Amino acid sequence: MKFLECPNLGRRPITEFEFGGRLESEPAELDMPAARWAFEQDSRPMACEEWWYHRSSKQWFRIERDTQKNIVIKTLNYE
Amino acid sequence: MSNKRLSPQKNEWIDRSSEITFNFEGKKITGYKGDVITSALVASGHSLLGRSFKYHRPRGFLSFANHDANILLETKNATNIRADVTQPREEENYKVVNTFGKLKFDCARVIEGLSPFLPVGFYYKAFYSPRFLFPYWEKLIRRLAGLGKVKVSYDQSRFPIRRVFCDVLVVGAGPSGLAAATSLCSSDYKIIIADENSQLGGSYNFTANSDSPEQQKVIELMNYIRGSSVQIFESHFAAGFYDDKTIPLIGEWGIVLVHANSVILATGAYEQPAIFRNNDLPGIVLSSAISRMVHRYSVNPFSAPVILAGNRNAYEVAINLASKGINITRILDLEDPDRRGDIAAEAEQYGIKIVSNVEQLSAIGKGNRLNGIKYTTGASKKENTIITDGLLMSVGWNPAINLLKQAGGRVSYSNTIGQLAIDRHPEGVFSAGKIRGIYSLVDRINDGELAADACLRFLQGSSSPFEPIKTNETENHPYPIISHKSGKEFVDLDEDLTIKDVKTSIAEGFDSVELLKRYSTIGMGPSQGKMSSINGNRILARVLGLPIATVGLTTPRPFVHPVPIGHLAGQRIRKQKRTPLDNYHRNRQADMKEAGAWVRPMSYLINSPQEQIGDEYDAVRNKVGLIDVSTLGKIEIFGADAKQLMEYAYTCNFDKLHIGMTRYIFMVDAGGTLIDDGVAAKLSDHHYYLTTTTTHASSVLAQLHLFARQLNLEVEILDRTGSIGAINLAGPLSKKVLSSVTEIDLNKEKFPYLGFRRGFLNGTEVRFLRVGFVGELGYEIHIPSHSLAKTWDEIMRAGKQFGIRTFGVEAQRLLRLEKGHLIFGQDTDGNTNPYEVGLGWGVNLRKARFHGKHSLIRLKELTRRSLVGFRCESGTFPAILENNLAIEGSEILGRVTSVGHSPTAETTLGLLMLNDPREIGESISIRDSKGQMIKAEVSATAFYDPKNERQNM
Repeated sequence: MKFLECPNLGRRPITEFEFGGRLESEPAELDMPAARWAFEQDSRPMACEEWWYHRSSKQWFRIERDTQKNIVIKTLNYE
Repeated sequence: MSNKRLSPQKNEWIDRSSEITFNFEGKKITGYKGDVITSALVASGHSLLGRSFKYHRPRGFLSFANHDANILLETKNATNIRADVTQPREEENYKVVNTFGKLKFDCARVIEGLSPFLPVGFYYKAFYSPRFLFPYWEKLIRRLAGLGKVKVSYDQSRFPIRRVFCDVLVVGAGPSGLAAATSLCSSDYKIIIADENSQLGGSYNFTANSDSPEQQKVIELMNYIRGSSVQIFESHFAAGFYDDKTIPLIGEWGIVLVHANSVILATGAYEQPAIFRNNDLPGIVLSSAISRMVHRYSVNPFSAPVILAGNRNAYEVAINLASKGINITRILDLEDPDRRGDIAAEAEQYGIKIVSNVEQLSAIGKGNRLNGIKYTTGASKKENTIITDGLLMSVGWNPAINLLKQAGGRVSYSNTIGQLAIDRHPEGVFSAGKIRGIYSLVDRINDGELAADACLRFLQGSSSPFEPIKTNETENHPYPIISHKSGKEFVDLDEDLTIKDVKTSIAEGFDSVELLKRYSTIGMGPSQGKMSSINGNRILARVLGLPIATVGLTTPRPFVHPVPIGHLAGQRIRKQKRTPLDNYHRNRQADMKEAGAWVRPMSYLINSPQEQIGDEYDAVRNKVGLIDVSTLGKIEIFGADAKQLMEYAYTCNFDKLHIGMTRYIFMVDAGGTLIDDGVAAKLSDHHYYLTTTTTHASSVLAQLHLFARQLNLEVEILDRTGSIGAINLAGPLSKKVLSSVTEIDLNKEKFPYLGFRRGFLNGTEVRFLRVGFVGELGYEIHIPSHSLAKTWDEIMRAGKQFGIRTFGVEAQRLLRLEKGHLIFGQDTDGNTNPYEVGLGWGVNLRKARFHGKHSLIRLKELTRRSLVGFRCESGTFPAILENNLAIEGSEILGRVTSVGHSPTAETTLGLLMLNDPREIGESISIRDSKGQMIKAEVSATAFYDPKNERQNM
């Protein structure tokens, strides 16, 4: 099982978190077909920023994760 | 039967003062406390202990370490018990799996006679054609194949999965593991050591001379560890290596899940068998197996055993056993004994005869066991025969690299040491001892200390490299495989695969390790190739004329040994939420059922359920009813940007929602699929109160939090699901009931349909929402949880004169169905958009932006599916169920999503998701679960009061 660094509580088991994807909020204007925006996220293995949610403390935060090496590079500070 | 037990010796694992009795195949067996089933059986003279999977050949113990699957037993309640590592239970009846009749006279042994007709890849070939024979083969194979039968009367006790955290986990408590753990003890780190054996020490006393200084040193280490703060898990095997150094240790009483910061793998090596004709006979065992038998359980199974040597270890074991008084008659060396050095001469001093350059080895069986061996030697072609009851094989090892590979380590075959060698360790993972081809006791201890040093440096944050002992000596015979013109040389004992089978597979084109494994099934049996994969690779390499290093390795996946499925499930711990009225419902014998995480009353069982539901229904339609809806998700949003959040999260326009009013809301995901619906009330420009469905309360909350973060909104989002309870008072007389308990003006002009009011109900501050799920005049009343039960009682008292009844989820479902109100997740699925279910009116595409807008713009054009109502012929109540299909000819028209028997319409009616729209009034047929076609008519979704006059009173 993996562990994730929660910005408020420190190292917690991954089962306490939910993945929120890499997506930003939906913009008012799209420069691509809607289906591509909704379904064709860039999921190539690489270092990227992701949203994660700590369920018990109800906090969203971002982490920088290398999906190729499957490691968390850093937890981006809350606020 | 004879007693094969030696006289008591130091450090044996049995307690001779305590006997244990059990039955094996109907025979009474007596062993000692500490015995495993195999040792007790062998001690009492049994040699035939199992039957092979395919040909039902006689089998005995082989590795005596759970590395083979020769001895699998069953009891009344359990199956596939591994006798090598399981202690017998008093008075238990054990039976061998996979026999037809008795172990000794297994009827299915005739299958071996058919073996010429059962070629490798038999299943693939037999089933390919002709097809009409398939049912015949299926029936036959279902009866013959498989090991053990699932016992439906299995022991249902469940054990919790324990979690343990540590700095260092040492896997394997042999000499190197013990040395590593001991040298880590000088630090403050938390250390765990685990071993699959029931006692520490590993194979420390199998080789060299008894009472040597090295053996004494290991005993000291054991004593030191037992007295230290190191946490010891004996009889626990490490089943796999998972992310972030998570390693499950499997024991009889469940799983211990270890989360380690660093890991030292001192997992040792699996001794490998030699392959020759009849090498599977009971009596042919590994040298390590006999060492375990002698040193741990003081059992000497054979009268005059012979050792087959392919390495130096054979001589060490011979001397070791001879010094225990065991009559080793000969060492048959596959090579020249001069290669072994001085130890050959030492062995001769014990009166052991050494035969060099043995070739053409084969075994002869008699009475289900080994009776003798035949061989030639390099010099002459004359065949020699020895009569013996035991052949001990010592030809090489395969390191237990499973965990290391799973951790991400790299392993390749080294020609120098003739076995797999570790090329790369993952960060924070170290290895020591036999796993790296280090066999001498002194080196294993030193190697453990080196691994511990490297581990300490890692924990302290230093990145200096791990430099363990390097070895150039081989303990492996390069090719311990001897074919015979008459075959029956078994490469894989689990699957009864011979050299010929492997070669045929390769000839048929399956000439890579992964293909060979899948086609021939080598390494696919219960022991997962622990004793067959390396020899299989050797044959493959030789046939292809390639070095072994280039043929590769199959992937060793978890689990290292089989894990009981109940262990994986752990203890069933789920959260179960109860509403503040839970006691009330239970005291009235309500039919409580799980609904998501909640327990809710389906109906109040005063009469039989169906009548009861009817009565509850009648009360709501004609008088007044009260239902507990506390399970609804309740969220409160404050802040300057509260409206902006609502606009983004939900599809509708909030401009027209005035303070003191509510409206129906729903949200979609980025792809335009419906996720959740509810009601939003506007309390002020910066304050909204909303409900969600029961199941999505927490995910909607998370979603709103995410939107607020992504849009950087100034809002506070509060989860009020637990702190506020809710009830729904519904029915034509509900206003009368309510007016007697609250001062609020309930007149239509002052409190219109969809209105929201705050007020007092007999002294408790509550919120009133005039919304109607069931389609009658009604009030949803949201009450602080602590006062909910009191308020509920007050309303029930006030309603008594009006004939109030409590109603449950069943009646509510029927009431809403008549009204055509949707249940999200039932009438919608993971692919439903608002336009398909008539909710287009709630989507405002003119809004600047909201989540899912762009997808909905597109879906509006594309939508074809359509949720409609259907009703059957009046006066009939056909038994249509949810998910029954509407069918026309050979075409599926749609699927029933909700169905019920409507008292008002006096027929069965429901909602139907049609793949293509149909006109109202069209006739369709629905196939019920018995296959009957039932006539129905397409209708509007609202069956009851379509003009909403009743809820708008």
